[in-house]
Amino acid sequence: MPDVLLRAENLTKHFPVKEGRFGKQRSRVHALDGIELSVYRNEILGIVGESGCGKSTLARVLLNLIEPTAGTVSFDGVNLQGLTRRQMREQRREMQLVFQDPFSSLDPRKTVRSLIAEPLDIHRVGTPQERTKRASELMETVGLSRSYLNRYPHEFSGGQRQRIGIARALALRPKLIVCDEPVSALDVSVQAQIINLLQDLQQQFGLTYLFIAHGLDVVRHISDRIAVMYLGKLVEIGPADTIFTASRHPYTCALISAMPKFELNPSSNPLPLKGEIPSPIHPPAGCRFHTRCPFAQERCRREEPALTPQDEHHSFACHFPLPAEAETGVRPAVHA
Amino acid sequence: MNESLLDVNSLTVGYRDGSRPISILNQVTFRIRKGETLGIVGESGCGKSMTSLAVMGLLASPLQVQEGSIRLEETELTGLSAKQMNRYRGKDLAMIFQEPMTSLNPVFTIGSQIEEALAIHLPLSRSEVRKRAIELLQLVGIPSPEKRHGDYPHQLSGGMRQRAMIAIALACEPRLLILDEPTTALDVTIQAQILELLASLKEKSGMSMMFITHDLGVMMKMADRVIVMYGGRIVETAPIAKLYEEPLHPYTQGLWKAIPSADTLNQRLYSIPGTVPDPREETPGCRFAGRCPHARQECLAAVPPLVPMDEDRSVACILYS
Repeated sequence: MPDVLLRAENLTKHFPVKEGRFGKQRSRVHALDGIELSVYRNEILGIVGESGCGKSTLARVLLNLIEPTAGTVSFDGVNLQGLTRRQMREQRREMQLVFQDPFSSLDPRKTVRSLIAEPLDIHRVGTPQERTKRASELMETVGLSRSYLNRYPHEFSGGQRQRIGIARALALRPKLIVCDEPVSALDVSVQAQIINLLQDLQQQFGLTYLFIAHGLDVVRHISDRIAVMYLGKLVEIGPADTIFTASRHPYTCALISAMPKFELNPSSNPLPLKGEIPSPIHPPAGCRFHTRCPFAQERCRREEPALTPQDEHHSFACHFPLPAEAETGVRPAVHA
Repeated sequence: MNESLLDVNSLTVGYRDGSRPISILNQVTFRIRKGETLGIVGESGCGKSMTSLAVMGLLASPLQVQEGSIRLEETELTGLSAKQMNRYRGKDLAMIFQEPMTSLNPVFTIGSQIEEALAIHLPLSRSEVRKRAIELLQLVGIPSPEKRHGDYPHQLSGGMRQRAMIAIALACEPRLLILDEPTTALDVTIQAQILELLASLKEKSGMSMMFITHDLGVMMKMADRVIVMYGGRIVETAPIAKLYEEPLHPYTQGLWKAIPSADTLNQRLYSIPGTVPDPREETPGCRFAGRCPHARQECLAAVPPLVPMDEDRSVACILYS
C-alpha cells in the first residue's frame, strides 16, 4: 500500500451565484462534486481537464485556501477542516503553491530577496541575516545567480520569474507543492528548462507535486499518475502511461485524441467531440459527459456512474467504458 | 498553385529611439502561394505577430515599415494611405486574432458585425446582406444561425465567438486569411473543432492562409510550408515534411528536441539555454549565437544570410554556407 500524503474524501465545492432578474433566483456553480482522491508521498500527480472542469478549484480546496462545501481533506494524517486558523497557518508551511502567471504573482515593488524570504518572514524562521542567506541559497537552487538578489521582478524574463516563484514555494521546505499551470505562460524552449528544474527539485528534496496543466504532453512527461476531470467530477485516474495508451473513459480518449500532435500527416481525430462543455450551474443529469459522449445510452442520462476501480491503480467512472484491449476501430487509432 | 499571392521582400519594421533606428523585424523575405498555408512559428518576441500586422497595415505608431516591400499580387501595400489600405483590409486581406472577446465589439450583435464587413465592401442590398450574414454563421457551424444573428458576443462561448470571428473574416471571401494564434485561448476539444473547420473552409474556398502559432502540434496539422523566426529574422524556411524530418538550423533543432513526447518519457527534456535577446541590444552577429551549441567566433561577426539549400528550403546559419 503506497504511503498517502494527501487524501480528499467526498470533496464538494459549490459557489452560490445569483441568476434571473434582480438576482432573485439563487443557484450554485457545481465546481467540485464528490471528489475522492489520494496523493501519494513523492509522486507527481497530474490533473488535466478543460476550463471549468474544477481543476484549479480542486487545488485551492486541497490547500484549504477555500473551504469545501462538503467533504474533508487530510494532509499527512491531519484533517484540515478541523484546524483553527493558527493551526492551519502552521500547516501551510508543508504545502505550497506555484502559480501560472509569473508576471502577476510577484509583487513588482519587492526585491527578489524579500519575495523569496517573505514566507520565512511570515513564519519567523531564523534571523534576518539567516533569511537572506537562505534566499540566496534558494536562488542558486533554482538556477539563478545570487547576484540578482536585490533586483526587481521586471528585470527578469518569464522563465526566470517562474524560477523565483518556485524558490519562494521551496523556502519553507514543504512536503507538497501544487503547481497550477506552471509552464502554460512560457515558450517551448523555456518550458523545458522549468520542467527539468521541477523534476530535479522533486528528486533532491523528496517533494510531492500536484501538477495541474492543460498541456497534455507536458503532463504526460512529468506525471507518475494522471487524474482526468470533467465538469467538477473525477472521471478517470491511473498511471500516466495507462491514461495515454489504455484509457477506458470516452472523455479521456477524446481529450487525448484532440491534442494536436507533433508528427507528420497527423491522422484525423478518431473521436471528435461535438458541442461544448455544459454550464456547471446546471450540470446534466446522470453522467455529466452524456451530452457530448458518442457512446451515450439511455442509462447514462438517468444514472450517474461512480468512480470504480478497475485494478489497484486505475479507476474510471463510466457505464459503458471503452474496451480494455484494442478491439474496436476507435482504440488503436486513438492510442497510436 | 505555384503562383505567388503575397510577396514580402526585405521587410524591416521598427521605430526610432531619438535618431537611432531600432529594428524589430529584420530583412524578412517570404512569399505565400495561392491556396497555400504558410505557418510562422517562433517564440514570443520573435516577430511573428509583427509580420502579420505589417502585412495588414496595422502597425501602430511609433512602429513603421523602415525598408522593404509587401506586394499582394500586383499591388504594393507598403506605400498605401490608410484610406487606400481600407479597400484591401477586410476584403482581400482578413485577420483573426487570438482572443475573440477583445476583437469583437461588445455593444453590437454578432450579425451586425458580420454585416458591417459586407456592407462596406460589397454592393448588396440590406436584405441580401442579412441573408449572407446568416449563411456565413451557418458556414462556420454556429447552430440556429437566425437566432444567433441577434446575439451579443457575451452570450456566446469562447469557441462560438471564435467561429463568429471567422465568419466576419470570411465575409468578403478574402484571398489571404491571416490567423494569429487563433486557437491558443481555446480548450483542446474546442481547438480541434476550430482547426477542423478552418481546414475544411480552406479546402472549399482555395484561399491562402498565414497561420501564426507557437504550438508545433497545431503547425503540423495546418501548415504546408513553415517559416521559423528568431529574434526578428527568418532563420529557416521549408515545406512542412522536410522541416519536420530534418530541421537544419540549430534553433529549429533545439525547438524540436524541447517538445515532450512519448519518446522523451523518463528522460530529461532538452532545453535551449538562456533566453531570447532584447531587440534593443544590437549585436552584429547571429541573434541565436548566445544560445547556440555550435556557435563559433565568426557567428558573432556578421548576420548569416538566408541561403537557399534547394529549390524550396533556405536556412540562415554559418554551418551551411
